[in-house]
Amino acid sequence: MAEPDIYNLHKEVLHSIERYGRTHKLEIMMRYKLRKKNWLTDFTVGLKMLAKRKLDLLPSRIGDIGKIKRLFRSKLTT
Amino acid sequence: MTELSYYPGCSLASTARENNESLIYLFKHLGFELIELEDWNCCGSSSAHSVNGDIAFDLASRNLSLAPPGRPLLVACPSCLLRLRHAYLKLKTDPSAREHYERTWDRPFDEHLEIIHFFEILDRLDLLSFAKDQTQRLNGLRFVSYYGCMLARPPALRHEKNYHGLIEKIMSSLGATPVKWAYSSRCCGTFLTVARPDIVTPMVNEIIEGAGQVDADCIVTACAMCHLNLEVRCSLKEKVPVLHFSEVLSLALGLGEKKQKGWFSRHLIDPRPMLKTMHLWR
Repeated sequence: MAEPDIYNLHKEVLHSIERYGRTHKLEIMMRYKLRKKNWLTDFTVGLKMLAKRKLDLLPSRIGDIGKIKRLFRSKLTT
Repeated sequence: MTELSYYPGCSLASTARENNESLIYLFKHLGFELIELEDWNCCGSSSAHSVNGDIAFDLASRNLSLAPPGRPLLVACPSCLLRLRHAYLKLKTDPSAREHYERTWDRPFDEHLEIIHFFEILDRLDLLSFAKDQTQRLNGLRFVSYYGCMLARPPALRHEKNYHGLIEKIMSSLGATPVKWAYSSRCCGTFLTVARPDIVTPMVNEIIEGAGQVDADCIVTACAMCHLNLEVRCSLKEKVPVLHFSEVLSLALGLGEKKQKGWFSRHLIDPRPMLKTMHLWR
């Protein structure tokens, strides 16, 4: 694969949508970094974003998450 | 007060909350109540669109199914707008997609649903008439408009409205001076910002440098994702503040300074020194 990092990021975004119905950017970043085993890149950017309250610590979930999960299960995406 | 359904999308609900709050505040002042779509989900964003077209369609179409009939659906994020309009167009033209939709969401497709970008409302109004004392508060402000590429229409949406030129038109009516530059539709790097900052940083720096070269006081953008990339990825010493269109319009109309404090403090490139110099901030 030419750009595995880009594909892995997309997978993390979809994982977040499947789990919450919306994207939780902090968790997406953390999971992506964990997968890549690279914690240092963008560490300062992440701190700045946290300081400016641009990254929520907790995810925002939709009420009817069952429907979203069923969608993903039927398409076997992630 | 005119009621509109409102789809904020994930960016406006989190990283660009200042965009969301200023838009709701501005529209209230203009006589529109934005009613958030109940239990909306992510539109699928670039990721679903890139990885799985079926998921992208289903995620966008669930949001359409939540829109109450008889009320236009207002969208602020250009990327979400593309995804929702794509799904709507498919539902309008493809009977099998409509059958799938009605089976999945257990309700008929509303083919009269109007999906509008917030520019369309602003374009119909004489904004200066809403300004406190009808004063052109933006006098002296030199700005460049940054539309990014999400407001450009992909082939499937080529018959949809073109919004380019609207920021300049509205800002000029409020006293500001539009400055020509080469980067108004240049891509900000979008989602590549996480996986390939090595590509995005020089792209963003070129855009910000471009604004500096024409002596712009600020960059005005209508895209929350572009806004974040321009602020986060700029590594230049000399930065140019980037304002959400909804923020600068609230300033221009002389609306509540107390609320604006909370918006501008969230910026990574602090626009307040520039706003103070322009007498737009105390």
